[in-house]
Amino acid sequence: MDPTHQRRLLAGLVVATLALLGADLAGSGVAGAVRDAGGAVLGPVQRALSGAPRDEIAALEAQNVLLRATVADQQRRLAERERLAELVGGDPATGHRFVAARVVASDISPLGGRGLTLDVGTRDGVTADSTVVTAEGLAGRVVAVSPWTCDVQVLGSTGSVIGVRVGPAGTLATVSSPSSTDRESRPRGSLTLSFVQPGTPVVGDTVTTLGSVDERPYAAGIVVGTVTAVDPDRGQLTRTATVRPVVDPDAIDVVAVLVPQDRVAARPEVPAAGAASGPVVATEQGAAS
Amino acid sequence: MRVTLLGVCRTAYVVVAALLSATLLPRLGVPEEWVPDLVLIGVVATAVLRGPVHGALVGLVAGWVVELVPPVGSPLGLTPLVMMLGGLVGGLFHRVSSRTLGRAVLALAAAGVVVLLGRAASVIVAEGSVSASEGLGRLASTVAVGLLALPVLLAVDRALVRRRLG
Repeated sequence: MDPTHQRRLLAGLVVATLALLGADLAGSGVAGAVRDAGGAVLGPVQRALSGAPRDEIAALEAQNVLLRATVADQQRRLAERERLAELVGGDPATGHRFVAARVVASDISPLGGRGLTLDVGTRDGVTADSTVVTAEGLAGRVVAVSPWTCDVQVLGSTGSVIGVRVGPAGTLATVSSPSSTDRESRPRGSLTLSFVQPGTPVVGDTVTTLGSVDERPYAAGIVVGTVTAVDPDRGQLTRTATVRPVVDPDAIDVVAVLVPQDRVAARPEVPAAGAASGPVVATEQGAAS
Repeated sequence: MRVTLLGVCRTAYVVVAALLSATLLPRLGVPEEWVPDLVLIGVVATAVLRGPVHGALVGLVAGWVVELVPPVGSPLGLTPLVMMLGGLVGGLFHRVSSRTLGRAVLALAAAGVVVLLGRAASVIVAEGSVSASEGLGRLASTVAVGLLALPVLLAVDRALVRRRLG
């Protein structure tokens, strides 16, 4: 290839790259299509590369994570059920289904934080915005899915903001990665907690997810971390604090992906305990008497 | 443009190296901050024999391969541009008269520093702080592996060109 030709080719490729970079930053669908193509072509190769024969330890490890995730989920459901039973005596909670997965590739993102690839994809029922948990707690969420693999945005990546409840009172707050606009300096690997309503966090408070509609991208009640330091009160409207995540992003191996299940039945109306005729159940009561 | 054995070898090396450093090395227990940048070694090996424009071209294309190996990078296109600068700087060490290994290793170190600075700059813009040890470990392991791999890559490249296969 002669030098002029080479220069022209280089210039063309640079322009194409810059165009794709701009398209991705602007949130265009073209970048998503390129991403899906990369996953569909190279994902199976990665699965084959890391799919060394599954030994017994790996299988047990996967089972362990699944069981622990289920136990944590059941405990949350029990607690919820108790609270609900106190309130109305009904049972609207539906169960979760988990898919065990292994990390097959990892990458330090150029924007900080970490990206992981798991060996499950749409063929295993995983969809974008599914919650990813480890035995300890929240690991992240699925951002891109291909037929055989999916990419996970790990907790604490730039731009990920999670709605959470803090402490026994369940005060509402958000958890995000430390940003350049932060007033306090935080130890590497920890997250910024900012309250959205007045309240004072206490060191040692457990931080759990608030949950979203249809459990996407985050299901409710999953442990995120603990408060390790509270920022000094500088007269700002709401308080901020440092949170240490329970999951070490460098050591994530076997995980469980939560597959959201749609609620099919309508939530039943239940008479309040002790109330002879509430306004909600007036007709039913009338028919019975 | 005709397909040559050298071109096929180069493509295969980049794809295998990208898969290795994303999948196999972390699985084998190599800590993330010590995984060497194998793709950059290949880019510098060809850049130092042919000059900056060729280095930039190869760096850009190899960067796209790295970007598209899952986990796919975000924002899309940043890694290719940084790798292009790395290849360009590696190619600046090209001299027709001198073909010593020392020059190639120096080129690799310089390209590694450029890639490191590029990544650090984007992390600082996004996050506000950067850990120095992470990038420096990567640079050190890249140069160390380069000391072993560069003689082989250069010898293969020259042998193929001599036999008119490149």
